[in-house]
Amino acid sequence: MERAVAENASYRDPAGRVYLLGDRILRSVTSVGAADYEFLRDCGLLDELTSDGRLIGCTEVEPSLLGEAPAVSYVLEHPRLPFISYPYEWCFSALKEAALLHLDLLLESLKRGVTLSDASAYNVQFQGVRPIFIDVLSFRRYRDGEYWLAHRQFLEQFLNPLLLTALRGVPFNTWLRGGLEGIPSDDLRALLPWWRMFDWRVSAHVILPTRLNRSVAKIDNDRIERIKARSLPKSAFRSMLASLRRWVEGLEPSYSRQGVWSDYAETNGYCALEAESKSEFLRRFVAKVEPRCLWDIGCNTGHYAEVALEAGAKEVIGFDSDHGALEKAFARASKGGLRLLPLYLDAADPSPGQGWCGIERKALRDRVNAGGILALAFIHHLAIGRNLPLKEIVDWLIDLAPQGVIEFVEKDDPCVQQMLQFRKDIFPDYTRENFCAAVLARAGVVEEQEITANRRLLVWYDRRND
Amino acid sequence: MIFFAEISPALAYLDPGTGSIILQAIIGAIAGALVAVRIYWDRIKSFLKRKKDGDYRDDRSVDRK
Repeated sequence: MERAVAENASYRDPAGRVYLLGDRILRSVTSVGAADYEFLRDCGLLDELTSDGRLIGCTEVEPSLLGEAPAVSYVLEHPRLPFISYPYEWCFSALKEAALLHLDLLLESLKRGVTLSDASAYNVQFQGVRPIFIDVLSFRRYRDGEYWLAHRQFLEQFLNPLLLTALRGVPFNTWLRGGLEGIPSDDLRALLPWWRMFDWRVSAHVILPTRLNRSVAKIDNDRIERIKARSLPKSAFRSMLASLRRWVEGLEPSYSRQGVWSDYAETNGYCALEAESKSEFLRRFVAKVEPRCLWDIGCNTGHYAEVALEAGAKEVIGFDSDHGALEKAFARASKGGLRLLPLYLDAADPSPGQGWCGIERKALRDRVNAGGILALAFIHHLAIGRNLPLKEIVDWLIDLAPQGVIEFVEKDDPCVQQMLQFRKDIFPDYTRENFCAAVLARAGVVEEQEITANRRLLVWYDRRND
Repeated sequence: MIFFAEISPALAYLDPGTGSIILQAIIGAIAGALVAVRIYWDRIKSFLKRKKDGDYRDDRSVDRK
């Protein structure tokens, strides 16, 4: 019989933890969390939030499913999400949507006498571009007048990264990857220009708490006790949340430079006929492979991801390193209701395993769920732009999925020539022959087609029989 | 009421940050003060209103009401 294995990302909460049982996702509720869970269930909030898709569904199952695990009060089963993404892989709009979901859930929960015990951005996942809250045990009964203990965490995980991008034009991704706790207010404050202190919201939420933190060493114990004895009336808590919500809703990224690839779709030199024959190739690929999940490596603004979804792909995870392009792809998916999640990826430096023992957050390679991949006009960015050996790039792509479409761009193509403008051509191995040999060394070729006057080549590989 | 003393282990696993709590104590105090000001303001308003509407009655009748 299969045994339930505890998930590494959920050890912090004494109220329960997540287990994997084969393909099933189970969550234990311990005696610490049982009363709060029962309250959430019995007050109707659980049903309300799961039915409108903002909270992950949960069904009570037999506790014996966990085998010989320590005594638990309940065992819940959740539907399995096809892909787990992390805040450092999200674009600005995704983190903003996640923050708004968190605040909305909190505001609605308060009406029923329920609050959220933490404010971790890792409690939010995405289905397409729709955020969904996955931690049922974060909900607990609200005690009248209690302080919002997760305020600091909300800032570090949501607000400060958004402010870094909105106020300073710095993408938050590498910063969040650099520290899983988020961006400390002290760090953000040091980065803001002095006149931001006149923005009362920045002053109240970011600057003032850090100043108070510093002065707290000088405060005597009596004073601390008096502060503890005070309260935050529910109405004040609600207005604080509503004001934060309005603030977050109005934030937009102000990148200091426009993305290079965000207007790529309009300027990439394809004529309409060539773009159409590329789309036609993709439609044939998708219709035959019928991937449940397709990874589009170098998705740009999501144009070809949309083509693949229309052709029958159930879900596309898009990856790109251009923040402007990701924003456009996110907007495309929101507008069209597409099951497309655009994520930030520097393919030369994919997300590693990190956190406690290096396994709390999984490496990208341990989350691969692709039934197919697209890598259109992508490999020259790694081969020429980042000096990676062509063969290794092809191997990496083919390892990701059993079937896929890879585009090869010739060295005399204007796009590659532009990359070589101020560089010595140290890439004698970057040739079509070597590319084809690298593909054939790992997989069979189902179909190939030249699509432009510049001899761009599309190759559909299948490694299943090799 | 001392809220921290009531916090069960499930809630205490998150370090709230002292600055953040003091900020909320201040917000709470301001909210409390605003409520107080509003109550007094309402009293003053109703007092003035009654005085204005009070035609032949004297101030004491207002107090007694």
